[in-house]
Amino acid sequence: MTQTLRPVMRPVMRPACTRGLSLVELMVGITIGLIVVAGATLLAASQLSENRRLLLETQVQQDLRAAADIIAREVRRGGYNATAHLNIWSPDEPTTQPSSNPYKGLVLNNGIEKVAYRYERPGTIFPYSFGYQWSASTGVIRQRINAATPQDLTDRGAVVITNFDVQPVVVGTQQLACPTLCANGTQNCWPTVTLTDVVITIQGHPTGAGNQALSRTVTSRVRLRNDGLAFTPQACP
Amino acid sequence: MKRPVLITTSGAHLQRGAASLIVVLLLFLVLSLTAAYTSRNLVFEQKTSANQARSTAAFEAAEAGVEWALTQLNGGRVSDVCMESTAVGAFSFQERYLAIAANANISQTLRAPGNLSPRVWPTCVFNGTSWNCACPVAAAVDPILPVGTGSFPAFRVWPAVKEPLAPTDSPWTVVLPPRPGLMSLTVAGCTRLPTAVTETCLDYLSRGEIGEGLAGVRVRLALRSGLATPPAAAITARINVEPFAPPGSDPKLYVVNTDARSKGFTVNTANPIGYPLDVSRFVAQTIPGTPAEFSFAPNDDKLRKISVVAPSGSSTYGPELTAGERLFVMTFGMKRPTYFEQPGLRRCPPGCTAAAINTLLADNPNRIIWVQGDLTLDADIGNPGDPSTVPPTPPAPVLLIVDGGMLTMGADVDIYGFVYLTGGATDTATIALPDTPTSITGALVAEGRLVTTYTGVPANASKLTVTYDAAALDLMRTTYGSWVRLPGSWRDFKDPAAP
Repeated sequence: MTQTLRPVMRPVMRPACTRGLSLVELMVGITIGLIVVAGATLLAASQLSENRRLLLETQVQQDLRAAADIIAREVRRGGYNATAHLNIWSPDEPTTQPSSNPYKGLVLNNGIEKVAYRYERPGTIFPYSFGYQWSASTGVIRQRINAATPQDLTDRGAVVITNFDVQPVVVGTQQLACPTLCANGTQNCWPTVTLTDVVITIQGHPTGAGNQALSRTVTSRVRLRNDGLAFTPQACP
Repeated sequence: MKRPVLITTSGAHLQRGAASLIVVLLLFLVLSLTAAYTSRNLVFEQKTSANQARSTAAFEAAEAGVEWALTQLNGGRVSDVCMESTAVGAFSFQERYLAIAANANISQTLRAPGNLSPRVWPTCVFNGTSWNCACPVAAAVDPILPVGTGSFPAFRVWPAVKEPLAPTDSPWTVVLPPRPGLMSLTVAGCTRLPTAVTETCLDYLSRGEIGEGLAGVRVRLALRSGLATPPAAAITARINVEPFAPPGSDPKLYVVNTDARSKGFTVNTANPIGYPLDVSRFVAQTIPGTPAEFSFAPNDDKLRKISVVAPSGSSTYGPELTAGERLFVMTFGMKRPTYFEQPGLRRCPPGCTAAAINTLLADNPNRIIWVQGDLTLDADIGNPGDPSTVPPTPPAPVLLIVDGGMLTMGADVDIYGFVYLTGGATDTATIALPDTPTSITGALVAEGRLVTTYTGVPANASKLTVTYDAAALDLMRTTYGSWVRLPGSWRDFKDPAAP
């Protein structure tokens, strides 16, 4: 009775004490397992490295795109003036000369900054100004707000900016007409309206040795909304 | 004995290949972890790019809204779906949403009391190929919702309102522009048209619904007047006015200006040497109590000054203006080509008739009419209005530029409005008169000489009366012209303190 019961109890009470694997079985199993693991590891490793490369590419793309967007969005606002109505003549105040827009004037490549501009923001004091600078030695685009120390716009730890350029493209200039000629008898002092686009180019690659091959360039073209009207320096003689 | 053996062998079978099983399971774990890691990046990428796309779509929708509103403001009469309409009772976009006071202050039109729904403002939604719009006046109306899958961005336009402050501010609050002739235009863009009243994506108040892109653009617009500087006299001619008056016949040009603000001038000319003004050819009527001969302003200094032009080749931008063009600039505040190409101008091609002008004027309230070439009128143009009808007919003067040498008046033709004659290539504008009385109520300006002649035998009844109408001129100055952006006023950030 005891002998007939023992085999029944064995799997429950002592599961490890079965007949066991033979050495050959174990070796074959381990070998097959190792081969599979080796193949899979190779696959996984190449996948991971591909993934890392993709990630780096994406990250550099995204960082460049984000920086270009921020700069484009900001530059587009350049010249905004909450009291822009003072820049045009009004029949209501016929004797008041229109004043020039104090926020006007995009400055490019002034030696320190690639682009500098002004616009009026709530809760700020004149002359509130902004700028973007970049140097090849740091590889970082920095944003200046007012007179504060510029802050990094791009992350040195993630992406190295190898080029940053801002170029204006004048779409067209038209001269406005005044009823009176200039003091010298010509029309050259009359105000002008210029339509300007700004092309922003940023080039960069992921930080780290051997990543130069992953260099990418992002270009953004933006129309200036507020920076067109120019006086010389008065509106109309 | 059979059963234990069976169990023993089956146990051995169960455990054969356990190592491989564990290895494979581990492998699957590693693979799935890698896959999850990769797809996490993918999901993040997708989120980022979707955000980017939504924000761009919303911003572009808002920008499209500004352009759309400008086009609509410079357009003619439109239906309730913002399409061109000649139906009786259709109003122009400007008439629907803007009230322009006599002092040129622009405000929104008054709405039904208590109607605070933002949906009473014009709204458009992109349907995949074009925009479905709604231009409601009194009650809230939504544009037709596009069907199908795809991205359907929408925008709403808020003319002449202040920037609403979240969350309680009403966009109906009356706000006066800082100066006459100016107004603020706010456009809200959203990645889709909100369908429920609770959705505030297009209300320019706070943020949009979760998962929607939202953009706001605010720009100030100015009505670039089609008649920036109305003339001060009933007839202005840069060189001279020479009515047809053979010896012995009655004077045939009657000039009237009883407006005290313009000092009652009837004829204003420069009269260079060789072009003396013969006042005996006029019959003038001016402010009561003032002798008629004082109402003539010949040898006008200002008109003489504009006859001096800049030296040829001295201009950096384009050719120098001629003397005639300088009068054009003085009157309209714009160069002639710019004026001709402005969006608020309607052209009447050669062969233009009175009926064509009246149709243009009726379908395009507050717009300028430019006649290309000579003009022959066989009926009245411009509508002086009628206060006795119910509802009263508002006056609709015609702002007419005749870019030709000849204006031929038919029998009993009355013009209500402003007439500018360029005189064509000869710098001489000729008005041919019939044998019956004709009139121009408003003002008449000629760029060079102005002469009158007769198409028939001059009878005593054939006279032209030019009456200075300050009210009509003011109406044209404050409500006629093109809407343009005010330079330096565009912004895409909030600033409720700014006008």
